[in-house]
Amino acid sequence: MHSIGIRRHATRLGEKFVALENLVSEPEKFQEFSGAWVTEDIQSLLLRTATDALQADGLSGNDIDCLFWVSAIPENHVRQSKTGQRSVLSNFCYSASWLQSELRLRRASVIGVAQQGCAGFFSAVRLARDVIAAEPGINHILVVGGDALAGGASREVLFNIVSDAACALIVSREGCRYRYVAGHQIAKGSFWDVCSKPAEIVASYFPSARTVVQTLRKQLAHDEIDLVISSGIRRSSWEILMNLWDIPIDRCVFPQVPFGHTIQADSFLILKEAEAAARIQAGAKILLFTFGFGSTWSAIVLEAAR
Amino acid sequence: MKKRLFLTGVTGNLGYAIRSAAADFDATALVRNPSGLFDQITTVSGDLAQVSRIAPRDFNVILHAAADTRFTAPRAELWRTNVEGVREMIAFARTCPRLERFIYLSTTCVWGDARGRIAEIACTTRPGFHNDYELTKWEAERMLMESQLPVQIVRIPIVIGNEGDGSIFRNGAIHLSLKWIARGLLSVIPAHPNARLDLVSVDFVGRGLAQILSLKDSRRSVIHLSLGDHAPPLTEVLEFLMRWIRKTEEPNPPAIVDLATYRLFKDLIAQTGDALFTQIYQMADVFLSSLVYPKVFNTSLAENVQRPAWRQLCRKVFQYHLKHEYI
Repeated sequence: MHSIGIRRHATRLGEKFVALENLVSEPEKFQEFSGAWVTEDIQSLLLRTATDALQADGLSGNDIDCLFWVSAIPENHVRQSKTGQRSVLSNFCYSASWLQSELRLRRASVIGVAQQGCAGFFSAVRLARDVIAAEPGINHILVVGGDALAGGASREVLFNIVSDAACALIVSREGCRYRYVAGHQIAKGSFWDVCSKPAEIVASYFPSARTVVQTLRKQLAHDEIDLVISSGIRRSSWEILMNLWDIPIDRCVFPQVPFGHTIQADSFLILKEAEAAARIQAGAKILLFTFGFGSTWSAIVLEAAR
Repeated sequence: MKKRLFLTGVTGNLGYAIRSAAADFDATALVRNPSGLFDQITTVSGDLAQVSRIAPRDFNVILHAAADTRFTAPRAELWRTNVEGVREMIAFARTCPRLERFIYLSTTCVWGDARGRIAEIACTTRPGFHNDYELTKWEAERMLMESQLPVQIVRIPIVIGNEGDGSIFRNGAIHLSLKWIARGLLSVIPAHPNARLDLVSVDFVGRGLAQILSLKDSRRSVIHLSLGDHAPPLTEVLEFLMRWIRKTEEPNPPAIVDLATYRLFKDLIAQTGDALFTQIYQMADVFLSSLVYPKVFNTSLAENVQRPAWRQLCRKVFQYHLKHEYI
């Protein structure tokens, strides 16, 4: 049995809280949310979050073999040139490279993960696990992901409120707090045009969520899921999911204060809360699930260190 | 000499079945619009409210099949046809001196939210209903059972199409469900995991009615003209349909959920404010929610009626609807 998994993780919400009435035209439709966390500089937020993860683990930049940068929004993959120029060349001023430089990850190779919507971070964790398993010389991969909506953009997405946030974690060969047990993903390219098929996507959401988790559970030696980490979307959606998965609702960890949906960081923000609330028992099998426009349904199972 | 048979409902979904079952009778049919005349059947032009005034009275058998089968129609409209229409037919039947039998085409839906094995008996205790169609058909059965007429109630389950080409005269809730499942919009179905879909063909009903009409026994009775124990599980029907649907689209098989989960999902749909979505789940409410209460209908006479192979029937119905771009 391999021991590859997540060694440390860190999360940060946007620095500024904006009350609900300043975000949406019909606040009564979003009563479980009080507002959203906003940042004006997602890349700086990502840098601070990645630093948190490295410091928490006592690792230095030299220990990192690979950096995975994850973002759902294309603009977040590129950083403005110091020259202020907008040219063909400015398309290649990558955020991931900038982060590598800031963190002094001198040995690290750099990979960007995109076009996965809110499922990008799960894909990156899966890829990191696979790279470590395939390449004996790679021991630590720093996965950094986050998204921020442009200033003034609508923060309503399919009846949820979107917050800005960043997440960073270190996937390692050994010494992990959470062993990566299994992962599964379903991608449906027919939903690529998310603007034209919102009803079809909503309709497909639950049956596909059921299928992805059913398939994932077949990979487990024991079917039992001890804990489910919810996300920042509406609570009622999670109540439906738990019924579909036939897992008792009391095994689901909900955010103590709903922060909205953060695109990449939801699951790990709530995992942090679960740790703080002492809900993670040694050896527990923990299910994480997310959906990303595009469309991708993704689930992973982690095992808490014994 | 052929017996005299009075028919209603010959232009509806079961019209072909009724007309073919009546072949051995000297039949007269009440029709609202006599433009489409039928071989060997005399027609009387009018509606149920006029039947006592316009129809002859020399009938040995009445087969009353006319009904408003729209699950989402306003209660007043359903009541007018399904309850007041039967009241008119009872009054008319009482004026027929040679009447031996009054056959009423009803629905297995009259059992509403009852569960389990359903005997071929009168549904005397009023169950909970999922829609006003069920309510009005139950009320009609109750009136007939109290009428002292020689009543035979024939309950039909879901009629999905013809065995020949899968066609149906008018699409019903089952066809709408099929359409929305195929388009991936009906993705959550409230149902018991053991629910069955009692699906029959128009031809099966025709064969069954022919047997019923040939009976010599005129005692009051209830007959389930359904698949009964042979009805396939809902999950099997969905699995089979998805194989066909996936050839054209790639939707998921709908998730079968309990009522509580379905209500959570419906609340979510209501929040979308999407008119089509809301309409689809209104239909699911009045039609599919009956699947939460699994039933198996006892069958006696129907055991001797040649049953359609449900897979073949469903395939033909699906192909027909695909060909006519209904799906």
